[in-house]
Amino acid sequence: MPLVIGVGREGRGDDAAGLRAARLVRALLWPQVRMVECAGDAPALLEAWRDESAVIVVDALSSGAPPGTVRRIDASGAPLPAEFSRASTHVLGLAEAIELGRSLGRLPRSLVLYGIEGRSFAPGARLSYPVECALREAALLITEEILAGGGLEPPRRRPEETRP
Amino acid sequence: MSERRTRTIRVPALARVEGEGGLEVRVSQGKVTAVRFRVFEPPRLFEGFLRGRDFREAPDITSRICGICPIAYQMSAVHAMEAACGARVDGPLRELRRLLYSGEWIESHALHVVLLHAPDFLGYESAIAMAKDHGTAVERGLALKKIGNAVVDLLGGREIHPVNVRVGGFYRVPTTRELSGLREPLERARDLALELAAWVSRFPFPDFEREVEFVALRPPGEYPFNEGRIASSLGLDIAAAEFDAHFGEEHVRHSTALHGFRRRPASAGPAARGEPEAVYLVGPLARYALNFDRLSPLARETARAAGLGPVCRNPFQSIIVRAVEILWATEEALRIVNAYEPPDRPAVEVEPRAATGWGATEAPRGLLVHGYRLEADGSIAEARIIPPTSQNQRSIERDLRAFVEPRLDADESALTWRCEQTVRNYDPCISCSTHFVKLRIDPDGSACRS
Repeated sequence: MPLVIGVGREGRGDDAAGLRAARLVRALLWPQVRMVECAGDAPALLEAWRDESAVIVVDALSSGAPPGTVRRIDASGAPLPAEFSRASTHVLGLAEAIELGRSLGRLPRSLVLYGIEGRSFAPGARLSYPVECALREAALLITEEILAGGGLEPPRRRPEETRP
Repeated sequence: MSERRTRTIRVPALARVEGEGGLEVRVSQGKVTAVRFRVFEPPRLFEGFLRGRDFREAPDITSRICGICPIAYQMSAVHAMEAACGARVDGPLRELRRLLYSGEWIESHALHVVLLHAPDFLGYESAIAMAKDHGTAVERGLALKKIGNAVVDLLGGREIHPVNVRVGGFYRVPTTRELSGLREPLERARDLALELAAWVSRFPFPDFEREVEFVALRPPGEYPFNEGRIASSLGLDIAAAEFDAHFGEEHVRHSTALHGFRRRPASAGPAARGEPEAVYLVGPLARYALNFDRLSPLARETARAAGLGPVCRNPFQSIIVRAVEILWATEEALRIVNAYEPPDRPAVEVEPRAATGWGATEAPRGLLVHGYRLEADGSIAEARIIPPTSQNQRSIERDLRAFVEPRLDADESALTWRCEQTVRNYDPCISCSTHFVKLRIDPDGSACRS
């Protein structure tokens, strides 16, 4: 059973999408799923997945795609696409954590990332409507993936095609 | 060669700093004609948010200014409020505040020293590239940061934007048993800090020293965290409440962060001679120079072994000073943990009154001043926040000018690299300096809100 890591912060608009999606996964699969929340700085992420062999990370994205787009990326083999690097509100974020982990030999054998495209990351803002819908979609996709044999097989539906 | 003597070094967006900023150095006929440390994010106007709010809300609101140094904001806020209300926090509560601040210094300095600044000296573009060859050093930095975070988590209630600090003390204080759980990690952190100081002392440092007025807190008998009068290397000795009489801020076109300056008296010393602007420096170099005698024997010995005297004027060597401060913070934290006896109550009662209060504490990046005017009912009528990066902007620009001019014949990329490194010497927290929101940079270099 993979560890689910919800990344983001409350009070910064759609930055909370990863947290909310991960909480939903925990609610759907409780008590069989392990979930931790993380603000998204690289040292904390490296610590969160220390000694884990399979991890699913869910985070907000800011890549220019339509808000609410959900993407699934296998991050264990290759560096993340560039948009993940600058999407972070943190000094060293998720993309840096993955590459640091790769350099240090501290990457889970299987690392899957679900990204939810955000619309607004303004301090004090609430989640936008398309992201509210999309995080539920992401949570269902993650749940399906976990249930598909405890594993990290790709889900039956292709999340790249989902739209709010 | 002539091309090199007339050119512009431009870094549109600085990497490995907290927040969004860039820099530009213009050179004409072998002279630096303009230096701009560009800060291009709009202000978040926290001082405005605070108006009308209850004085007890200030620590939680201001901690949101920065995810790296929220404790500094909480501490300056509570001290200013307590000064306004005539309250005094002593004994174990004061010690717990110092312990909490130790945690922030450890985690903030470790992040900067190892993951953000060290790659500059070793010739890597990032900590990721550096980790392939210096994995042990990166692991050491990560371990230190984790221990610092554990201190903040225990006392602050959580690692990011802690929620347990209140005017008068804490909402909940730890048990002796909880605090003793930090002993073993802090002892390990002390060992790691010794290794870290030895490691950074071997870095190659440019031969570059600067005369500048150092400004930092100097409390009696201890290295500064929360308290002390504001002192300077030119003999300044004032209370936080007198800050405005001796320091000012002004707006410049290329920065949305106010630039701090020193209102210089006519009797200014030799360091001021020939200076067109009244520049001063806050942060580790200033703290260290003004409080070397307040460091522990082990920290002083470690500094000397790393090649530092009691005063360090080379901003590139601030990385060593930060490592020494990590060591000192682990020792201070251990002292507090070992001597801890829980207080009778988690906070003293603080009654509001119509008054003005100022508080100054030492954020990892330097002096952080808060000032508030309260109404009789405790609502905030006015707020002033003067973060260290605002105060250091002029010093950053002066460093860039002084460093670049004798090196104009250097290779373009090498000089650009050094300029970026010069900014990173300050560990600038740009989000703090303007209380920024995030911006997107368009390919043409213009900035707009995302």
